[in-house]
Amino acid sequence: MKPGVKPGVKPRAKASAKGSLKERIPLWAKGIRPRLILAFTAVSLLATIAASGASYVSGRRTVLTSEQNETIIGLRNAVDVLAPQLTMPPTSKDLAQLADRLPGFTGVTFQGQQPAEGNHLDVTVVPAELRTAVSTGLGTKFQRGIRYDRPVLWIGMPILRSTPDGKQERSGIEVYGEHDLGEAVQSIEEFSDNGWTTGTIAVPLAILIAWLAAEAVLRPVRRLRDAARRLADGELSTRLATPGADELTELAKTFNHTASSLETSVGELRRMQADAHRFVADVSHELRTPLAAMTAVTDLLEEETGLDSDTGRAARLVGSETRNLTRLVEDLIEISRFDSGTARLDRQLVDVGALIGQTLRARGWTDSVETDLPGDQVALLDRRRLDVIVANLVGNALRHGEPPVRVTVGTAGTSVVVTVTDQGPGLPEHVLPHVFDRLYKADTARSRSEGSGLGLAIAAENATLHGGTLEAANQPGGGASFTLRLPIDGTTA
Amino acid sequence: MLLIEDDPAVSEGLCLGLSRHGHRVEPAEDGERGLALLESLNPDLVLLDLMLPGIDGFEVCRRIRAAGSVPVIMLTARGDDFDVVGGLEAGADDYVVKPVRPRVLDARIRAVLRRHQAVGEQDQVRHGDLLVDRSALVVSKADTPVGLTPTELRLLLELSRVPGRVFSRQQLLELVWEHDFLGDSRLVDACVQRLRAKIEDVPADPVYIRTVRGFGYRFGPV
Amino acid sequence: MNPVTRAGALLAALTLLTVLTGCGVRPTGVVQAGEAPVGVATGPMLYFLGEGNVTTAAPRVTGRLGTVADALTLLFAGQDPEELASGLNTALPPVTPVLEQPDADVMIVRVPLNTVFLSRPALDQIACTAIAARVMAGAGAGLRVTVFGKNGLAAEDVACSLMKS
Repeated sequence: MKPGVKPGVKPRAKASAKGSLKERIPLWAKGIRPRLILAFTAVSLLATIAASGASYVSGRRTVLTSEQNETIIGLRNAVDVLAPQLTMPPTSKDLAQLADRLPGFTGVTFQGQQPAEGNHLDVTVVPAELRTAVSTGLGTKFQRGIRYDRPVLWIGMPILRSTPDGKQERSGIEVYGEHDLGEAVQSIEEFSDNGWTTGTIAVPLAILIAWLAAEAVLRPVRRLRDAARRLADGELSTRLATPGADELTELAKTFNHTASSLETSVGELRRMQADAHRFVADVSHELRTPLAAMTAVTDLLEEETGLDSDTGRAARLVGSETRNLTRLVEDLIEISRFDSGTARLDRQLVDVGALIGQTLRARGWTDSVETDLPGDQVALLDRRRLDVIVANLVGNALRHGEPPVRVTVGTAGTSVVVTVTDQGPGLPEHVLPHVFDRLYKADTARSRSEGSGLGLAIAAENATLHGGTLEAANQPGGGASFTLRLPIDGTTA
Repeated sequence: MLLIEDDPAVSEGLCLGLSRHGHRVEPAEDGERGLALLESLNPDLVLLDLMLPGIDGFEVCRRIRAAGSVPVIMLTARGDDFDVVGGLEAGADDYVVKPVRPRVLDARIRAVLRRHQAVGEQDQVRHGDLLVDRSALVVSKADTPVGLTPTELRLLLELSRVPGRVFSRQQLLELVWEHDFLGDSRLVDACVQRLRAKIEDVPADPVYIRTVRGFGYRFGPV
Repeated sequence: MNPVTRAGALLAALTLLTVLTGCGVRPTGVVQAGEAPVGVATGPMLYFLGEGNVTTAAPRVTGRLGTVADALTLLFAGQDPEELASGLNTALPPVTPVLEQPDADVMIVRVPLNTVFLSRPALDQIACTAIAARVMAGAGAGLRVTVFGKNGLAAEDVACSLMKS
């Protein structure tokens, strides 16, 4: 009882026309394990990148902003404190003094002029854009830029003066500061470095976890697959352990349920089938004993009674019908042996041509059958069963076909091929599929053929038992043709 | 001859049919009666049905074998492999499947009986310890006579006629059992086993009757 | 997640990362960063009494603004010749006050005299001068000026009559 679907053959994905990306994914990457690992790696990479990216962005903002704010506020507060002490209008020395006392690298101008002496910021290196903005506005301003390949923060602010009632105006003094952001940048870069370090640790770890996760997922899947394969091979008692309560366990429970229903119904069917087979076998056996007694005396009857008398005809009728009945019972027993699976092969090296010649001679068919039998075709076969097959095929051809009936032997690959052909009308199309059915009557008008009606079925069973095939067809020129193929070396494949 | 068969109809039919072919048949309806008649009657041959009430056919066959070398043809109603193999192991010389026409049965009986007849060539041939006397139809090993059934004797004579020549099972069936081309090769295998048990020192490692794998048997050469 | 979106997400993330690491600190344009410092002046504004004892502002040129305390010290020191010439008076006695500024919004002035000597105009002079100095230094006008005499509190949270408090 083998199902039609071979186990292990997966249905191909039908959506191959669309999704060109899917097609480009190599086959090895389509398993669950590589897909899980790819997904885990991608997720961990993404997470690493996102985390380090986020920390980088927020870190950059935090570091830069605090660095800038500290610098700007520090400078402004210092100016605020020192401004009231500044002499107005200031001399070049006053300006230099102020620049000296301010934190960081600074420069001070009054009405666009800066003191010549002292190690101060040369205000002309400050971007003109910022200087213009400072000298026309009333607020503190900054601008980032690059100086000598280093990131730099420039701050500019005018110092205002105020009337007692709070009206503010520019005093003509401007303070500029230059601040190096190199260290800040360095600490920002540490963030991204940390991100990469995390990534190089996280990605292999993710692959490992993915591997383990794939194992955990695949183990029950593999068990399920093996169980399904065993079930497909006919081991209907296959069951799966169902620990836990996850989806795969649900699937396993469903599988078990399916398997047990299948086992029950198949068992029921098999029991019924076995009962039917046993009944046929028992009936056949029971018929044998009375037939044995009858057979023992029919010859006697036929010889004793006169040829032309009514009793003589009656005795001959009884004799021939007893022999027909005996053949039917023997065929039934043979068939029931196939059904119960007790039919055995007795393989020997056989000269196929010679055996077929003997088969024909033994039945007195030598004159009515044309042959083409090579003398050297040897195969590992059961002599008796080959005889049964050939006798049934030739007998069938002689009964239902027209002469000449022809038997040929040849080879095709690792098979020995025996063909039996006749020149009759051939087999009607609707009969062809049923030619090997038991007790199938091709001609419904004739209620009873001379054969048992089991001959071709037995021939086919014998061919199958050898691991071979028996096929019926019609020849192009008319007439039926039966082709028997049996493996030469006896391998049942 | 003795016919041991429990079904009266079959028994009577076979007696009738066989007597037409010139055989004198004594029927017995079960094994015990059959074995009792065996001593008083001393038949040339026993026809033994395997399906018997009381002692079954296999056991009867074994007892007949133990008592002497009278040939046994078993009648099997089923023709099942189990019956055939069991009967051959118990020591049957041949078997026929019921229903059987008296004409066919007669041919088998005559073949078995012919095995007693002398072949009449060289009188005595020695093969190692084994002495085969073809005129007296006696086989002795290390000067001790070996009790062989007619079938076993005929098989040994055919095989030892040309030491070293290979016979296929089919050839032996036709030569010894006089079966047609569809004989059951298990008859040969069973008989070889019995023969080896009687003449070989170590039956599992035979010196006289050797197996030619995939083909058949040959005798020696010793 | 199907392979297409997965590949897309990966690509996007990689691009983002490249952009982030490639640029570091970007240059900017001019960015506003709050108010400018206030507080330079040629000198503080002192308040004396003009015609009809009206409190009058008189800018004193000292070269720099100085602190609130500096301004008050100058006020107590009285008018310079130029101010005298223009007829400005003072209601403050010629004493040296003790000035305390416990925090930026509070000015405590201790005058070593009985409070009866601290008239209304005198207190107005103190308040106006202190608050003006503070406003000119850039802070708000919310300075609380408290004056003590030798015998105790003269006035709390003194307001300047010239300014809206």
